[in-house]
Amino acid sequence: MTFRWLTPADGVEDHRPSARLQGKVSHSERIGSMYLLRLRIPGWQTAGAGQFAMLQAGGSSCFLPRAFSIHEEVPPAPGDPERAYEVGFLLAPVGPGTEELSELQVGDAAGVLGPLGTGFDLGLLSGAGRVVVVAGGVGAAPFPLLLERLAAASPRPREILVLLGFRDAVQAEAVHVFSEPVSRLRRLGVPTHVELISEAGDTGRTGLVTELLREELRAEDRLVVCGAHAMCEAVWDVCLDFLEQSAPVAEEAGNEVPAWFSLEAGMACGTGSCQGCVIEIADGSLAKVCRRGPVFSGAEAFGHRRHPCALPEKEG
Amino acid sequence: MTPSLDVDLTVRLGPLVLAHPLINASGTLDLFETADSLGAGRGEQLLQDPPVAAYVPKTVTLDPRRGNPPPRVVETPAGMLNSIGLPNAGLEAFVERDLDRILALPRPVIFNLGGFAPEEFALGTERLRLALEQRLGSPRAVWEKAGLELNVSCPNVHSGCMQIGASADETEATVRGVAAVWEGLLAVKLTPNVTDAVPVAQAAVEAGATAISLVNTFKGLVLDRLTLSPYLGGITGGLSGPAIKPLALRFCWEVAAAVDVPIIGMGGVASVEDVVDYLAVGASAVAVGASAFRDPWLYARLARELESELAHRGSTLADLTGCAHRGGVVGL
Repeated sequence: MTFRWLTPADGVEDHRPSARLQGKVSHSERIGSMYLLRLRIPGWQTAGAGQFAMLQAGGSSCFLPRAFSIHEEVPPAPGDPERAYEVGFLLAPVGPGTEELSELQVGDAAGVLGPLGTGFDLGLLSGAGRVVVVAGGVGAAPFPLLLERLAAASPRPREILVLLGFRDAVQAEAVHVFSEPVSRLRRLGVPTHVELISEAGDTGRTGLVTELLREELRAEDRLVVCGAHAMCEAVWDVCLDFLEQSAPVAEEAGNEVPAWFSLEAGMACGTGSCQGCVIEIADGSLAKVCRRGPVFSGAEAFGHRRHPCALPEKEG
Repeated sequence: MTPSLDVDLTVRLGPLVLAHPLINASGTLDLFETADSLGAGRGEQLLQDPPVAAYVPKTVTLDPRRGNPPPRVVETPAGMLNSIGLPNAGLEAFVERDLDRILALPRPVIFNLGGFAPEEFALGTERLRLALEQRLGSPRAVWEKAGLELNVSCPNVHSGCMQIGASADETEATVRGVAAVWEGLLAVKLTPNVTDAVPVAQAAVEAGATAISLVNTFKGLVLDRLTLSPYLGGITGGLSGPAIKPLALRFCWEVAAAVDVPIIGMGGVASVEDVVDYLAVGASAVAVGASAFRDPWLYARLARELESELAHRGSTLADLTGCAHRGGVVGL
């Protein structure tokens, strides 16, 4: 038998030699303590809000790529022969992998595997009622894309509230990534408000984002949340408290605050092969963050537990 | 598209015929999960034309296993440490839910069976054989489609498994029980967590193994940088990636010289040079593990690069295989 590669002549569309796409940096910008990295990616297929991609700087000295929420996405320009999307990622340099990516210059290469995972269900977020975004630090990453998609949804949410918690004023500069989607929503007639809070108190109010949420949360709100695991736990606690106060009987009956959390875990493949990224969810089982998530409903991830499972620390 | 260079890369592992030597290491590629992840187009192609010459599913055990608590993976210099702990739904659920779609793949399959005592391996093998015969008809059809790899080397479970593979006697007893009920390719996957793998490999072959896979991962430890306590939920883990390649290559070199069955070489394969090295020390097939996490098509790319490598050298796969034991290749 002579080994032969199947070709399009065999009726097979050819995606070889790689599932990994070659991105080229089209824009890199420091925003406070974070970086906005835009990659031009031929072969990219449109992402759902809340999905992620595995990224690795070209010539990386790290063995594994890193997982990043898809932050923004611009479809190919008409007539672009490569049909390349421009895909943006918001990253915080916290270790060697993220540092390499933050140091990339325009024109540099990066390997991309994605879009991957289960994102936000737009059907559950569009239409009547208010959508409350709760983000901590670089947890802001998935929301500009989500807001763009909600702006394009039919029907759109009646109102949107964005609550952002940052460490300090430098990190809070990341609020700028919301400027475009927020003005777009406003132009479309969707009342959209952004509130800031920081632990250092050198910008906006002093405190944690959960304090804002506690004041703002009302019935009919639907939450979308991303941030450090401890923040996600605290947000869910606020939801449980709210239910208890407003309708203790309803909670018994299985009523839940509709909230969806984008969670993270150390990952090797991002495609369900390695089984490395599992977290313990409410029913006691271990779920792969890369496949069942990264977006989980609060009830699915945390249930009625006040202090859900501990997650590994963020990796760089 | 590179035109075919017409180099014969065919590999025979017992009754299995592989179109090229590149396969996946068990537990590092779930074709179906990956296909789902990649979505229509790329995902469909992955199943239609898998990048591996034979598919090795993740270890299945008789009873369901939850696996180890998170965190389960951590990056290390030129590699990674994992403590997954063989999570699987158990053989019965595997046969019910996964077997048909695995057999539908247009590739031979090397099932990977784990266990904690010799009888467990024999029982699992018998059940798997029965299920395969029901689906494929004749025993001959089974042996041409399906091989078996015994995982006697997982470092991440508390009892059994690696203890079997670390002992020549235990390995011999395990393989003997399985060989009595399995006539197809019977590979035994050995641990490198021993001083010398040769006595274990010889015991396996003596007992009826028709191939030796090596190596599984090296047992290791990573501490959490802040707390200085073990980072992984399973405390210790198995090291893989390019960091282990010279260590693993040495095991293959020694075992290939000592036994007369085909070797499935693995450990840190990331480039075509690594593939060539494993073939040169005597491996018939080469498995890629952790390096393919970056790109599930890596196996196929390496096979294609091997093809051009051989074409450029004007040599055949047979010339290359084991050449390191024959004084290497002259004139490269």
